[in-house]
Amino acid sequence: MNKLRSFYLNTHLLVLCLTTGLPSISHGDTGSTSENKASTYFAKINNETIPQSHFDFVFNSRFSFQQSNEVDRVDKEDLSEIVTKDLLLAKLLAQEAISKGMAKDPNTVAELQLAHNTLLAQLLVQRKISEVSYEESALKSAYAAVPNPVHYRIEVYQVERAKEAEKIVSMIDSDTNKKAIDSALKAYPSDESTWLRIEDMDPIMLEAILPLEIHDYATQAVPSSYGGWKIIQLLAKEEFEKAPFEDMVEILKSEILNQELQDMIDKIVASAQIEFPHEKVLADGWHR
Amino acid sequence: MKFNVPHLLAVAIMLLGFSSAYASSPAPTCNSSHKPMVMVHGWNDNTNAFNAMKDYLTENGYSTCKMYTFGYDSNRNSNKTSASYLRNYVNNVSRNNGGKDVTVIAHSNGGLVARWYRVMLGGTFVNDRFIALGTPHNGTTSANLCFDPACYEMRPGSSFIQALAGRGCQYSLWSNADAIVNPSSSAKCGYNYHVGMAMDHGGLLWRKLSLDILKPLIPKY
Repeated sequence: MNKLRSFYLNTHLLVLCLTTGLPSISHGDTGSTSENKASTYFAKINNETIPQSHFDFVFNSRFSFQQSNEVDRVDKEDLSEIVTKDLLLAKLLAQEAISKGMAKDPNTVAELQLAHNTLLAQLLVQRKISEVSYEESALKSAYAAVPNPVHYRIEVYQVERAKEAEKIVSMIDSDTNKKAIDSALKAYPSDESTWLRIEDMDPIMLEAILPLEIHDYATQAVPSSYGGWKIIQLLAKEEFEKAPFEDMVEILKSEILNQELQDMIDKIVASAQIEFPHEKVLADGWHR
Repeated sequence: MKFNVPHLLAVAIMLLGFSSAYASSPAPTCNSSHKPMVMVHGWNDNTNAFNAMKDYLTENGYSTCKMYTFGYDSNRNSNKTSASYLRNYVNNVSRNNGGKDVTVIAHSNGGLVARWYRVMLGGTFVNDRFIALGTPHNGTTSANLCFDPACYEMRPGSSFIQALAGRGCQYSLWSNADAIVNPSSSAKCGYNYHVGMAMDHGGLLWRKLSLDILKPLIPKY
């Protein structure tokens, strides 16, 4: 199962929603008056209207936030006044910005369009999150599939030249006396690792390590990102018991949610038609 | 073509990291009576972040075989989920070391993960020493530039920071030249050690001045 986005994306999105002004809880009692609701607009400024829906939206968002978080709370009347001032000021400043031609600035136009897309993407993810259910049976079966974690500790010898690395690998391959290999490797700088988990290791490194018994050398030299080659020796291996189910529940939920989100994204991408004006292959193999 | 969640929702900024590339070859040591320590990296980083620290500590008589580097997916998971992983990890480390208490050393966002583990997930039963390096305990405005779950949690005033309410700290190393933790004083929590005026965020992990301050805080036994 992919480790994707966490269960706590709920919390993440709650924060996200609040920063973007989205209500995280459906509209309830807004505290707005019945006269307000009957009006088509909340206020008119310089002949431009602020819709009543804008007031309701911001008021509900803030009211919900202060109900569900440990923040200083204000009563509905005060909150209504604060929201009113904020809406009026935002509108006035926006009008001033427009009068200065800022709304036509290409960067502003791009930013508005991007914000529009981001908001819709967030709403879609939020909706998906609310739809995901965590059946006990699904959690149990996900738990059953989790293997016991294994940790490895290795010694890595750094060999600069390919020919020298080949020579040592051939000694290992031909079952040369271990003492002779130890002695040959003494000439090279080495580094003893901390305990590493499988998921924290480079796949090429992992491939070399997995078949090894304790004190064995890997039969393949691994290219080093610093140049040269790595000769690897397994120093120790430690298998842990996996955590009890109750300690894994939140993690499993997170993985289920992430998988659901990834599936949704994959499905959307698969059905999309994407075109670029110029044919180009990006570094990661994407065709552009 | 492969899209995934971070592609859509994340804008990555790199936190400074450092990997020591075979700078020296300290003699392997393994004293089984030494106390285990777990190192927790920062946001968008990995376990290699602790290479230089590991070499330094080994040269100073600590056992490499008691050093565990905990990796977590800071770009995808909330710090709360990462803290659940950390709890399971530290419990295992303790169990495989004769039930010994575990020291946790964390850099940057790793310190927030560790604090959530200590405060919300009963971590202090197993983790008796906690040292944070450049952790934005009260949030950092740098996190306004990224959009992962952990980024939202790192922002000043986030519900995550508010829920921690200053709890879970023990020792903190900080520098007022730390440009990632903004304001830099946000890295102060518990007993504080100012590492110096010229210490950048990544340098807390590998510069000798920082490691010299860190060393006496890590119990060997």
